[in-house]
Amino acid sequence: MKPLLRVENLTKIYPGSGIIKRYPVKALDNISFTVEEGDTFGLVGESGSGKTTLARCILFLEPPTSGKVYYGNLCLNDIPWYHWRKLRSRMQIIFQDPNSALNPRLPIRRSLEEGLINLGYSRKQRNDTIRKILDQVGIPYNQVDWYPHEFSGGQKQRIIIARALSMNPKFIVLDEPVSNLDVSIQAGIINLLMDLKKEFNLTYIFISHDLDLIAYLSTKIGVLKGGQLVEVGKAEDVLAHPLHPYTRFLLENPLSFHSRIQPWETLAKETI
Amino acid sequence: MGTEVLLEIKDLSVEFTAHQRKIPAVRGIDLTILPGQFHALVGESGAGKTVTSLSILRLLPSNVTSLRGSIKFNDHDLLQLSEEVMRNLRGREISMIFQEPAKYLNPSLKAGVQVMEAIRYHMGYSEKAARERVCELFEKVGLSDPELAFDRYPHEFSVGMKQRVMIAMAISCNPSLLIADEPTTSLDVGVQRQIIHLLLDLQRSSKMAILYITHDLGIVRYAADVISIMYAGKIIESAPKDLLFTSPLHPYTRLLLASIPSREKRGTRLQGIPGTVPNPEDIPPGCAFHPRCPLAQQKCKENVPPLVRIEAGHRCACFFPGKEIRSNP
Ligand SMILES: Nc1ncnc2c1ncn2[C@@H]1O[C@H](COP(=O)(O)OP(=O)(O)OP(=O)(O)O)[C@@H](O)[C@H]1O
Ligand SMILES: Nc1ncnc2c1ncn2[C@@H]1O[C@H](COP(=O)(O)OP(=O)(O)OP(=O)(O)O)[C@@H](O)[C@H]1O
Ligand code: SF4
Ligand SMILES: [Mg+2]
Ligand SMILES: [Mg+2]
Repeated sequence: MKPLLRVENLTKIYPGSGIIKRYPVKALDNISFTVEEGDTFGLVGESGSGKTTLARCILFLEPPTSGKVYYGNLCLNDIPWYHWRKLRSRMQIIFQDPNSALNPRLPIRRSLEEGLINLGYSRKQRNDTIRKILDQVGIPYNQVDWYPHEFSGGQKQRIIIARALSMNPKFIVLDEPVSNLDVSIQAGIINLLMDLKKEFNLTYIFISHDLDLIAYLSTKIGVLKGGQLVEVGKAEDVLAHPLHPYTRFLLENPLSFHSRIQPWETLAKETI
Repeated sequence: MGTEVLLEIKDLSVEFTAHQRKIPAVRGIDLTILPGQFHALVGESGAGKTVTSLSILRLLPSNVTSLRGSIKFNDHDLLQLSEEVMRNLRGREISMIFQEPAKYLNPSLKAGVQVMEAIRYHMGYSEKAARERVCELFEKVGLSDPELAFDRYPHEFSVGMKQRVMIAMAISCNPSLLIADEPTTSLDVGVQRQIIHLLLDLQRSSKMAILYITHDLGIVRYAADVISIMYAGKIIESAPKDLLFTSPLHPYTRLLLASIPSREKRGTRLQGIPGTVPNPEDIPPGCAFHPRCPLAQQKCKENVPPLVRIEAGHRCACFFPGKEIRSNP
C-alpha cells in the first residue's frame, strides 16, 4: 500500500487572547502518522482532545503552527494558493452538524451545484452528476428542489455526502459524521459510506468519540488525548493489544453496549 | 395488596397545537415505577420522552391543547393537584436533572447559595443548617472540597462538576423520584461513568427511584433495572433489563439493538432501519412502525397493536412479537 497522507510533527498552538482563553492552548502536540491508500483511519478522542483541529490542519483550512503534511508526494505546506482549488476537490471534509453545512435558504440543488460550477461543468453535466450522486446516496431526484428543512437529519447528511462525492474526491475527512443521528439512521449512513469507499476507492479519516464505531470500521486507529496521539496502529493490534493506559481505559468502558461489566464490579471502586 | 407502586402513568396523552396543526407528542402510554427502581425510558429523537417527563412534573409548555390520562404518585393524581401543592412536590418529592446543567444554574449566584435556597424553600431550614446540609450534599456528589465549591460560581466548574451541583440540588430534599433527562449526553466517557455511578450509589443508599431518559442503550444495559422503549409517542416494549436484551420481542427493539456497531461486526454490514422516525404531525395509521417494519402485514396498517403482557414483566405492542426477521440482503 502507498501512503496517501503523511503527517509529520504537526503542532497547533492557539495564542491566548481575550478574557476566556487567557493562555495559549496547545491543541495539537507533535502529531505524526500516515494514512495508506484505501485505509479508514479511525481517530478517537474525547471532547477537546484536538480531533477537529487535526482535521482542519491536515486540509490547511487552518495553518498548523509547525510540522508538515504530505499528500502523496506533495508537501501541502508549500502549495501555492492557486493550486488549492483543484486539490480541495480531491480532499473533502464532512462535519458533524448537517444543519450548518447546507444553506437553509437554498434548495439543495443550488448547494450541490456550487462546487460543480467552480469545476466548470455545463448545466447538462451538472444535472447529470447531481442525478447520479443523489441516486447513489438514496435521495430521490424529484426532491432536488426541496429546501434543507424539508429533509430529516439523516437525509441531510446523505445530501452532504453526495456533495462531497460530486467533487470526485480521493480522500475524505469525516468529522463525527453520524454523532447527531439516531442509531437506526446512523447504521444506514455508515453502510453507505463503506459502500462508496469500495466503489470509488476512497481513503477516509473517520473521527468519532464512539470507540465501538471506530472499532467497527477502521483499518487503522489513532487515539488522541489532550492534543497528543497517545496510540496509533493497525486496528486489530490496537484493539487486541492496546499499549497506552488511556486506550485500555476506553476499551474497557463499562458503558459500552458490548461491555459485560456489571455495576457492582466497578461501583465499589469508583463511587466518588 | 400487590407490590407497592411509586408512580403509575395510565393512558397519558399529550397534544400540542402549533401553527394551527395538532401535534400528538405522547399517544396513550402506561408506565409504572416501583420505589427505588432504576427505570430507563429509551427512544430516538422526537419519540416523546421529554414531554412524558415534563408531564409528570406538570411543567409542560403552554401550547398543550389536550392532556389526558392519569399520573398517580403515591396515590395522588398529579394531573389533578393544584398548582400550589404541585410546587411543593416539585424538587421535594420529585426532582429533575437535565442534559445541560449550565442552562438551569443561575450564573450570577454562587453554587452553594443556589442549592441552599432550594433547601430553605422546601425544608424551612435556618441558614446555618442549610449551609451545613449543602456541604454534606456536595461531599456526597463528589465535589471534593465542599467549602470551596460552595463559594464558586457556575462558570468556574467543568460540565461534569456542574452536573454534580445539579444532582446535589435535586437530591437535597431526599426525593423519592429523580427524573434524569439525558444527564450524561455529550459528556466524556470518564465523566459519564462517574455520574452514572453517583446515581447508582444514590439509588441504592437512599432508595431513590430514577426515571432515566436516554437514547444510549449502553448506559441502559449497564445501569437500568427496567426499560421502556418509546416510538412515535407510544411505549412499544417494556421489560426488566435481562429479558429485554436477551429476548427482545418488538421488531423495532430488535432492529435497534442489531444496529449498534461493534468490533465483532467488523467486515459485515450494519443492520439499520430503513426510512425515518415519523413526524408527530403525520404518524402512520395502525402500527406507527409499519412503514419501516420488515414484518408488516395488512393488519398492521389498519389496527393499532395494544401493549400487552407477553410474560411476567415483559410487555410488547406488536401483532407478531418475537417473530423471526429475515435480515435484509
Ligand atoms: N479557534 C480556536 N481558538 C482557540 N482555541 C481553540 C480553537 N479551536 C479549538 N481550540 C481549542 O483546542 C482544543 C481542541 O479542540 P477541538 O475542537 O479540536 O477538539 P475536538 O477533539 O474536536 O472536540 P469535540 O469532540 O468537542 O469536537 C480545545 O481545547 C479547544 O478549546
Ligand atoms: N411545545 C411544543 N410544541 C409543539 N411540539 C412540541 C413541543 N414540545 C415538543 N414537541 C414535539 O413533540 C415531540 C416529542 O418531543 P420530545 O421533546 O418529548 O422528544 P424526545 O423523545 O425528548 O426527543 P429528544 O431525544 O430529541 O430529546 C417532538 O416531535 C417535538 O417536536
Ligand atoms: S404490529 Fe406489525 S408493523 Fe407493527 S411492529 Fe408488529 S409486525 Fe411490525
Ligand atoms: Mg470536534
Ligand atoms: Mg428530549
